[in-house]
Amino acid sequence: MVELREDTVNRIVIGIGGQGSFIVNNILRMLKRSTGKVPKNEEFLIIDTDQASANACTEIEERRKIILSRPDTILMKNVNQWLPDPYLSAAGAGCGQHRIYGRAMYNVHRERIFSAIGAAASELRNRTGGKDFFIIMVCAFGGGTGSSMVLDVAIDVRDWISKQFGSEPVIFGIGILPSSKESALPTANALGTLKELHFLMSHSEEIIIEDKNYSNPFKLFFLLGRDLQGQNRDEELERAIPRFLLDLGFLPGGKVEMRGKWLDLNDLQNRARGYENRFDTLGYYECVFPTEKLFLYYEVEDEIPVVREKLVEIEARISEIQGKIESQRGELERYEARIREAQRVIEEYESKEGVGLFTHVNLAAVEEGKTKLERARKKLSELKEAVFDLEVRVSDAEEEKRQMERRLERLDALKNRLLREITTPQNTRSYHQIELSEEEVKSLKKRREDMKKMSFKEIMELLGREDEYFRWTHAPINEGDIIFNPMLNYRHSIESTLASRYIELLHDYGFLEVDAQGNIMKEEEKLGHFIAVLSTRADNFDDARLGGGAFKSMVTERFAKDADVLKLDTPARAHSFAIYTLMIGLQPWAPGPGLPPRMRELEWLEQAYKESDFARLQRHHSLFYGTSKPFAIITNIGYTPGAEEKNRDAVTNFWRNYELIEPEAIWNNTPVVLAQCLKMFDDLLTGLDVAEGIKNLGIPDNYSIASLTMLVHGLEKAGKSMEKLKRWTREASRGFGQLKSQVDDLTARLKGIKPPAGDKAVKMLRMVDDAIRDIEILLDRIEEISNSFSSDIKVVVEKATEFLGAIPSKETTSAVIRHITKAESELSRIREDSMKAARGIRAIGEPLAEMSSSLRELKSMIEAGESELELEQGQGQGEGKEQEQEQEQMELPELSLDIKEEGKGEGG
Amino acid sequence: MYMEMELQSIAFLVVASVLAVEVVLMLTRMKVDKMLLLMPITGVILAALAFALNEYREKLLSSLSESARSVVIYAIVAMGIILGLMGIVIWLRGEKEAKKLVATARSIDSAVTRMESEIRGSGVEIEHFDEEMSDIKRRISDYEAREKEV
Repeated sequence: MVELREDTVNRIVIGIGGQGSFIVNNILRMLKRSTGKVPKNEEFLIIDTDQASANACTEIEERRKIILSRPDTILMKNVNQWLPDPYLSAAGAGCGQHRIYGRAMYNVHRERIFSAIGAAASELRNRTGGKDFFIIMVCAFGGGTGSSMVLDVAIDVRDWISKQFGSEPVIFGIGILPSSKESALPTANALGTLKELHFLMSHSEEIIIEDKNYSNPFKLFFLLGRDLQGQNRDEELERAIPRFLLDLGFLPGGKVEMRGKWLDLNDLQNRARGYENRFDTLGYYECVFPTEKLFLYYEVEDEIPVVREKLVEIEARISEIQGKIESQRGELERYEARIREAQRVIEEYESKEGVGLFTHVNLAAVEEGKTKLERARKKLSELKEAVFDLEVRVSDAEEEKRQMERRLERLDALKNRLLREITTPQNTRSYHQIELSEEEVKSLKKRREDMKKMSFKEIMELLGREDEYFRWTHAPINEGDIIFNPMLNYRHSIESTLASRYIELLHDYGFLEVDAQGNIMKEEEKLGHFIAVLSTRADNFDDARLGGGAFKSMVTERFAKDADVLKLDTPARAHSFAIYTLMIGLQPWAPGPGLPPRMRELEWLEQAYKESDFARLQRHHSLFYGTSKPFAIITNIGYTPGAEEKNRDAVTNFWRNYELIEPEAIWNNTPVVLAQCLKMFDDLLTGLDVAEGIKNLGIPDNYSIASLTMLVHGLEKAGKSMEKLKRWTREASRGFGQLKSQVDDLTARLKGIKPPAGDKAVKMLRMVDDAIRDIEILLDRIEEISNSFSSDIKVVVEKATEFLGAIPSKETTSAVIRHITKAESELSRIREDSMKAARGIRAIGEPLAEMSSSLRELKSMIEAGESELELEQGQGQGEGKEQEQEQEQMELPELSLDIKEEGKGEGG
Repeated sequence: MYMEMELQSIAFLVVASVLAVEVVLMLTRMKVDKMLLLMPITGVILAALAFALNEYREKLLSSLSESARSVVIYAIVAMGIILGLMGIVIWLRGEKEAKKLVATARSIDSAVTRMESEIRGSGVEIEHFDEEMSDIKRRISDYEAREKEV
């Protein structure tokens, strides 16, 4: 029995914008369904600029809906002097997906927002007496409202509650990133929001300017993607977010479990400590036995014949009533005639009264008869109406019955659909429903009542499918599958993006390790903290099968600095096995220049962001517009009071250049760039060796038809090789140009960032030294080859010409003449191409020489940070590398900057 | 002779009295038309006349022979009795007709009432179908809603 105690933490869930409000509405609906009411310590609010969207949130109390109407342009301008004219109004609903407009709206309605949030907070405080506040803010990053207001609302709410109640609230954020299929405007908005959020999150210290604290208000910020692995996952998001919050105790529904509960806010904050400046994400996987579907199927299956029988009965009774009505209508007409006749007779009888001696009329009887007839006549007329009404109702009932028949068909279809869903479920990566055969569905019907008490595991045992149960519930933990199942397109390891040749190099220099299975273990790659919570009824766990700490070891070796697997006994989840994962401290940026970002969403966010020119870029930003002074203080970028446009442009420019990366992470990129250099130098050396091989063309000493044929073949091959060499030198020259600019770019980005020290610096210096030495060797070699190449080839050409000239004239048959002509044309081509190739080889030297100085600068930067550097490790270790080359075929190495491994999967 | 005379007069008197009673009954109980009352009243008058003629036949009918006097007196009495009887017969006939009419009206009324209850019964039955069908509809909607939740 789980003990419960009253939860006194005041919890506020705020949905901002359309999608945020929709999700909060969903959370509240699920909460009401599970607990029957809203706990007294929880409040649910929405902030939206779209009335229709807010109206759709039917679960939220009207007084908790903060609907912001669009102000007129005069008010907008008065409050927001900085707002450019094109954004004084917005097209479409809400903020028209313009974040800059959203910020202006926030400034106009700030007081209203605060009075509403403040009222909710004060009410909570009065109801519970507790001063601790936990706030969850949910919004989409693509829209205009949520993405533009979330940061300001978070800062202001934190400051207000801290001042008002003397205790800083714990704020968690949930941000939904747009899918790759959304248009450029919302997609670019998301990058704007991420940049601003990342900027705020990078400031943990208090920065109070103009009574506003610009330090990070969020303890954790979860990023979730709308499409995962290229598929839309809105449905999963809508299911998973409320499940997370409700099941894991973020919103415990008024009571918190004292035992068996893994998570409380303090615990989670402790686990997240040190990663507050990084994004987080959630993962969700659930394996379910389709009990609910099955029970519903059984109910529907049982219901269908009952309904059918009932409809047949109703049909028979309706026709009976129809018959009755028909006869009643005839009767009514007959009685109507009879009444008329009786009235006539009465009138006739009555008319005899006082006529003569020989008549007697009983007036009382006449009166009685007349009264009765009149009453009957009135009734009859009412009955006629009633019969008509009855006919209409019968006809309605018939129509209703027909509709019922159609509904019955729908019920039949529902039954078939349920059976299909039970027998062939549409499983996804995060949701697995056990597939049942039709025989199993039939056989389980007899055990319906027993099933209600049985656990998931017991049912699977009953079906003889125990192994399958463990495969879908326990194995994903043991085999580490759940690490690859975040609700974000996140690549955990460099190995999914980096070509193996670079991995080898980085491994050689000690920047990463490879385990026995060939998996990369790199400390910088790891996320901060990985928590997996297994949630199911206790008897569904099999500790022996969970493998003890094996999973934790595997995760901490390869993916996370710290990991926990926690079991949560949830009696209500007897037939489901859910695995919730919290991935704290992600590194969304690319592990190195030229590599894709770990968070794949950044690829399309950056692409969309780049589509906006400078003037349109401000649509995607919100933070610091109109607050030039704090901006200037925090960023050290000057501002001019009153020069709104200039200040606004300074903010836009700042955001445009803002990179979503930690400064330290740029240093972590350095080995990847150096590996690129070393690999390219190595390849260049190989290429030069291969180029030199062209001169080794064998020229026969004596003429024979066979030797002439061999020479022609040799010249053709050499001609092709020369052509290839010519192209290769051009590409190499371009490749080295790019590499040089990459090194320069890296050096420029590293300026002002504290370099690493210790072992890492030593390793980097070793790499830099090797690269510089390689450049020196290469420059010498290039000099040597470029000088000798033409003359070497010239010697070969002369020898070949001499051989051709020495062919006796008696041997010059038509076939020989063809061969000679061919050989001469190849010689002429080789001569010409050799000069171009020599020039090309010389051209490679230029960027290489420049790169040498860039690398020396990089070296001095590393040395500056490493005052106690032990230089002895820097030399000699790379010299042992052997360079093998194949001379049989002219295979020149690829000298492009493509360091990505082609065809590798996502998420791993 | 004296005795015969007396007896006759008494008989005429009785007839006149009976007719008078008839008149009274007709007036008080049978609620007949005034015109019909003329018959028994005439009968009473005739009976009284016959009585008077019988009492004073010597004076009043002296010009007639004995047998002619008797004929006249009996004729008058008979006329009175016939008028009295006719009044009753006409009343009975009128009453019979009235009863028939009332019975017809009553039977029509009760038939209409019966039909009314039948029609109302059918209405109730249809209402019951509606309820049953609404119940089925609700159950089906419930299944459909639950399908979304499972």
